Amino acid sequence: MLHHTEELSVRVVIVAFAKPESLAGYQHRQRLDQLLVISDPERRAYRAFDLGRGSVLRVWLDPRVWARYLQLMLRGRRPESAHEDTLQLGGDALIDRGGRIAWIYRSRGPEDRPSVADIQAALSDLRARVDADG
Amino acid sequence: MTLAPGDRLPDLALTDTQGRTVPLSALAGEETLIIFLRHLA
Repeated sequence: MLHHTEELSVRVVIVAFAKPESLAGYQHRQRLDQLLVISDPERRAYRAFDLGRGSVLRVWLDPRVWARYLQLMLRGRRPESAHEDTLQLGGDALIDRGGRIAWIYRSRGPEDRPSVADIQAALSDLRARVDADG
Repeated sequence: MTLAPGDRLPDLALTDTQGRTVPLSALAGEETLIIFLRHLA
């Protein structure tokens, strides 16, 4: 998803739980300089959005995870060694102009992320509701 | 506090990669997709 954000007609903000100094290098290496990247080392936002931690079995031993890593490596990505909690799961949230949460996707495993089509569908729903409300 | 659709973004003060404070609530004003990453890898 990170490298498909230009396909979405919405502002994209990245939140990570690495410290700001680690995150700045990551932002540059991943060519995300055009995006706002925010550090949440205490994971307060992760808890607020109820983004859970996976089990060791689900995060490291599930074939779906290894299939996803293989897919990324075939596309040229080389995994970096992790210095943070590898069991913490991510997610995605869509926010409307008024600052209200319109949609939340809580990942159930490392490879479980919404597709661009999923996000576009959530965006369409949000815009339809806004139009209906006038 | 567990956020759900319909809730407003809370006033959680986070930090951007330049060291500036960014309240989560300050993301209002524009449709926004927040991507919560796992570890950096």
